[in-house]
Amino acid sequence: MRTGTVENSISGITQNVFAMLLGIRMARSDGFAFAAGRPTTTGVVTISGGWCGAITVTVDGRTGRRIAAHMFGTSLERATDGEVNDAIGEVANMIGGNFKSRLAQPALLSLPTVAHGTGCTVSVPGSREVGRFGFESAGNRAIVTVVDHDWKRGGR
Amino acid sequence: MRIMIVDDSKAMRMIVMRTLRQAALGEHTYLEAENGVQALALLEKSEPDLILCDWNMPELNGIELLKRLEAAGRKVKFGFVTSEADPEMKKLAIAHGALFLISKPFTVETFQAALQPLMSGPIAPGSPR
Repeated sequence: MRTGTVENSISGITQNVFAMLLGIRMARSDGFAFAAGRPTTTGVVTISGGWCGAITVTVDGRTGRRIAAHMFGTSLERATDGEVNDAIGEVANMIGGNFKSRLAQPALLSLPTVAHGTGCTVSVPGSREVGRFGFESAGNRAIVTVVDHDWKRGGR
Repeated sequence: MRIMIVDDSKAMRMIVMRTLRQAALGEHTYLEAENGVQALALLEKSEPDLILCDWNMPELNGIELLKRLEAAGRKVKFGFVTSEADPEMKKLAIAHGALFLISKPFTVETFQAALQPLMSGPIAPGSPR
């Protein structure tokens, strides 16, 4: 799968999810990195079919709380870690589900998995990064990563 | 209407309820289930007018829940609210009696378009868009 095609798909889907669901207009931005020593939350879904791979959605602590607060109808201060995990898992599910719908069918979408912590990295053994796409708006930051998994390369 | 919302994400169940309120389609009472197994258990002691169901869930997913309701002859209006909405899934859902399939993310207008026809009596599977 070509990186340019993936970038167009992921950009459109991610901006749509943030705008429609959360009322946040995210712009593409690759000019930031998450601060070292600060916690992040990553939601992951995998796709299996003619194309095999995974989509990860990583947000910093502030963005995660803002998303959870919006989805749960609560304040930033009251959003719990569990609510942040639920919300980011659902965002990953939506981005992955919409991406899956653009692939050749049949394809299977996994349930989301969420990792939260400081210095936390998520990897899919045997996969290769297709693209890493940053999004930013008024202090909200998210990075969506697409990896593919080619069985012929020897991945499990 | 009594509306059952079946989704493993509590955040999404809350968003669906909020969207229903914003759609201003009347007063509703809500039942919640996290997956198809919980929904079946809840259906033994309640009779919702409508089930709004996610597709991809642990234990028993949405299409399997719909098939079980169909096999049991349970007549309840059923629609999917899912992040996966490819034509094959839509065809399968309609074949088993689903009335509509709403894609996540959605708008209030999407809910109004799908649910408004349900407020005025029985309709054929797949008819509202």
